Amino acid sequence: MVVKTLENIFMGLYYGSLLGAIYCSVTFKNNHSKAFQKLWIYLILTLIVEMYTHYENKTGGKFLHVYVMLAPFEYFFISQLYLEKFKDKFLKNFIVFTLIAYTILCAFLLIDFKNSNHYFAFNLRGILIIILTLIYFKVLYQKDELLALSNQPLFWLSIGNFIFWPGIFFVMGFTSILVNIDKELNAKLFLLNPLLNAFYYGTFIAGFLCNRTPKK
Amino acid sequence: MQQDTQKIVIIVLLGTLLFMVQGGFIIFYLLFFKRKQRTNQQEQIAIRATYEREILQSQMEVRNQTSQYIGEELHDNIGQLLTIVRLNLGILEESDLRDDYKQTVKDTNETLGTAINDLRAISKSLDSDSIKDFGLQNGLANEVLRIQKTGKYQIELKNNGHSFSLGFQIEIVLFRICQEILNNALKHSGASHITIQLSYEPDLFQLSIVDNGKGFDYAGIMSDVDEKRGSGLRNINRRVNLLDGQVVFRSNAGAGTSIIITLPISSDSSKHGYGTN
Repeated sequence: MVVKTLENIFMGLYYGSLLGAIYCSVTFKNNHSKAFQKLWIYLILTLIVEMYTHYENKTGGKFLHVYVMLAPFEYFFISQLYLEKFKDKFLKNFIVFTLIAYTILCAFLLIDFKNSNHYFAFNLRGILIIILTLIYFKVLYQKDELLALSNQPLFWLSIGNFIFWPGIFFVMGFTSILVNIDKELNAKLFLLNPLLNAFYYGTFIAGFLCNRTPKK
Repeated sequence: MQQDTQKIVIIVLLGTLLFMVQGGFIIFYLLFFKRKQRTNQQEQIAIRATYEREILQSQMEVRNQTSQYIGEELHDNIGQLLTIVRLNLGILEESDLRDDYKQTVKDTNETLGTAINDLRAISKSLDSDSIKDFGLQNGLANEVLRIQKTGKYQIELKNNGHSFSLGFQIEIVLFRICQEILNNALKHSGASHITIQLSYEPDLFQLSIVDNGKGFDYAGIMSDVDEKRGSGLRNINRRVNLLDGQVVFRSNAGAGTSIIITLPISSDSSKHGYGTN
């Protein structure tokens, strides 16, 4: 009962932060770079997918393929943010190459969905985003100019990526083990999922609030 | 059952460890980033200071070279021409002229003599070689003589302590600052009495110029939006800073002005003594 209540609260937080991120991505769009300006599309796509999968989950329908369909879009929008920031040609080529390869992989997974492991798309995307985040931290550290980190939108998003993706690996990985051992504990562990999502989209809000023009 | 409990413990431990590693990474990253930013900031300040120093040095070099050139031209060219004119006037004075003409020529010759002397004095004050050869103290003594000759001002040069050379680079800057301050005092302050004092101490040099003029509102001028106002004072400030020294302006409307420049002395500056006073 308590777990159910907490789950509802955390889901509320998650949807709240996602809606907040959508609001900020539209309202403060013009204060940001091109890649940031496009993020509202990604956020709306995520909201649609989450609402659809939530509905299918309740009614017992199949929905996992939708996540695989969303995956290349998600990687596209996130990698664009880093592509815009990186000056190094090798890194730019790396992003373009991984984006193409990842899209092809997801297409294959969708074609042969029944026989393939859809978690592969999820895991690979997470690993790629974590790599981009760590490279970004390195690039940011090596800069000689004076920077206020709190005014760097991508820094906030990278913090979100850095906490969210490893965290979600942990939750998804261990819930698949725990489900056969202790269902109650599994449900408790899964509470971290909406919390991590809420934190993730919270960092989007923080990112969008950077450099905002003060109201007159 | 025991195996399951172990698995749960491992999961909880791994989860805790993961979030601790993430948190630790972010905290350390922020700490290192802040340290790197501090280093960057210090480097940028140092680069900016060096750049400003070099700009100021070049400005002063150009100014010195220009002064030197004008001084030499006045002395070697115009000075020589006036001397020739004076010689010719001397010849004319000796010739068979009407007495009234002779008197006019004599008067002209005397005026020209004064003009030549003034010209030499100006040429000397523009020439930085005199500072190189005879030092700041003698350079200022010449300035004092030049001003005294006008007969309009009472000016004195005092010296405290055992004088020594501060090095040409420092002395020429101080000399030019002093000239600017004296020029301001004579032109704008309406002062009738000026005192220049040089104090030589083992680890400190102080130059003070005090006048009894009408004074000025230092804070008002320096905070004026119009940057042209007070540019001379700002320039003096910058040049003294270039020498790692300090300048203090004390002035109140109607109460005269005192400007004190203090320079720290490094051990090798006091090697070249000029002698005791």
